[in-house]
Amino acid sequence: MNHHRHLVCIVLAMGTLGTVSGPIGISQAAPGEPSSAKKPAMRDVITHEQLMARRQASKEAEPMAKFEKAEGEDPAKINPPQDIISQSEFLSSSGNMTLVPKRAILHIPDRLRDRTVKKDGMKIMTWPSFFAKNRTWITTIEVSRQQAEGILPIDEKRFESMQQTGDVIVATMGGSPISVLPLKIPEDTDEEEEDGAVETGRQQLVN
Amino acid sequence: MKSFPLFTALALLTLAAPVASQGQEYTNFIRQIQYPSGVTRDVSVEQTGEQESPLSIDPGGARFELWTVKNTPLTSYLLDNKYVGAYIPTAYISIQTEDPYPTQPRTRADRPYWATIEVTGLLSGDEDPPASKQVRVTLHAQSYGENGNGDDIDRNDANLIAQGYISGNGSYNLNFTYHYIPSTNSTKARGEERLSVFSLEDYQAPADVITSQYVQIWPVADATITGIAQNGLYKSRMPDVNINLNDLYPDTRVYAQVYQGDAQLGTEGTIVPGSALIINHSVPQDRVLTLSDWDDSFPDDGRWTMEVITVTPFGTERLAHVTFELDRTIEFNGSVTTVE
Repeated sequence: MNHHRHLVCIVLAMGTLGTVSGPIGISQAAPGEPSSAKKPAMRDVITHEQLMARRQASKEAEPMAKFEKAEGEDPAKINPPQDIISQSEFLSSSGNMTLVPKRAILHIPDRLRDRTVKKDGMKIMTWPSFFAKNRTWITTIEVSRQQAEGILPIDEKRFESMQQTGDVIVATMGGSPISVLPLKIPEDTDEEEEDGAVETGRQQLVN
Repeated sequence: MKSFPLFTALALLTLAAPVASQGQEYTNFIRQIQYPSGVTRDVSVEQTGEQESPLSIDPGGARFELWTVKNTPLTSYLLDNKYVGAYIPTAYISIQTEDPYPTQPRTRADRPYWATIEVTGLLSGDEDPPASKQVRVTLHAQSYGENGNGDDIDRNDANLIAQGYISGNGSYNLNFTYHYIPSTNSTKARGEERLSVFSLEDYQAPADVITSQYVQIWPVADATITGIAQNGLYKSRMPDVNINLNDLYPDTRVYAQVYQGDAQLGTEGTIVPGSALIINHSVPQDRVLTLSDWDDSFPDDGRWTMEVITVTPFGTERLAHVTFELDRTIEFNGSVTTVE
């Protein structure tokens, strides 16, 4: 009897010496809930073979199998965002530079052309900060949505007056730079009307 | 026309912002791109905040892009982008892991993560446009490459793992016990997995991302001990030992401990002075620990085991161990005689 009791005590003691290296103790959490359960005692770091064996033995369904399967082209590759630098025009002065959307700069006097060139190593500023420091050579013109979309023209007289200042002219909406598409001129009325952008370079007056 | 507020909580530099090094500065921009016209407007943005977009949203919708631009070399990084439309559903993805790191969901190659996708605004009427009745969910995986940290990857190169449709409003909970980043050694997978919800192509706009979230997956650490041999016998001072630590998880405490006897996992030993190391970083780290002048860690001769232990958000693990013999007692056999 004493021998048996002694043997039982040994077995219990071995069980308290910490975990034996084996199946990894992933907490069994409810779906969507990370485990708040007590972490297992010390274990040996998992090996590649152990991880692969566990995965192969797993009977868990693939998580994406929850959804009705979709086929076809990867939607992420259909219309990916284009690099903002490639879609921007630049204004720089005194070591500072900002980005505005392409077609937001409506007029560049020859004497200021070098301030619209992209340069590396400058301090990049947001538009409000850059404009505040460079009001002496930048003029903004607020445009409407329809003017930005090329549906309505910018007032020619007003624009010509602004050009006389010799400043760079930037189109804005709500104070932020906005691209201005080329003015759309309707086709001849005898023909079927189609939308079409006319490359004018800058805005033209339409009576 | 629907005036749509810009998406909020612009935690700009916490959204996978690259790590700035000396001389580098980052400036953030939000762009609103209207569909189908392509008219683009910039929005000034502070670190966090919200404002209403003055450029209202047409039925074609608009994409909002959040970029950060590095000044040298002049480089841009897309932090986030979302597509909104008058009848486009909205969606939100949250990812949770065992690591409480607040900046970016992250976990380890052998650990799980959980995701919840919430979709609202899906319509179901016969007359409703298809793009209002269904969205597409995708899972992408991308390796950072050996020793890579994701700073310069092109996320357009990510592999599409699976895609499906969601047609009903509600929350969808997903368990990702295993990962899909390509790697010859599954414990050394290093990269990111991304869940995204896309709108369907519409007559005025192509399919575009409504929301997207990714989790970074870092490799399991490994360690090698040099300078001391398994079952080696050491009769004098303990030799210097180097512990090479690779791929330490960004939140790790490392130490070496010793105890008498053979290796027994789970034994609480004596921490070797000078061997403790704390890693608190955004990416995995490699380190070399050198143990020298450490004889005081061994008060007695006999059989000893040294173990390299790490403590991470995933628990306490033994990376390596070595068992050896110490016999520093000088035994003199002989007799002393004198001669006059």
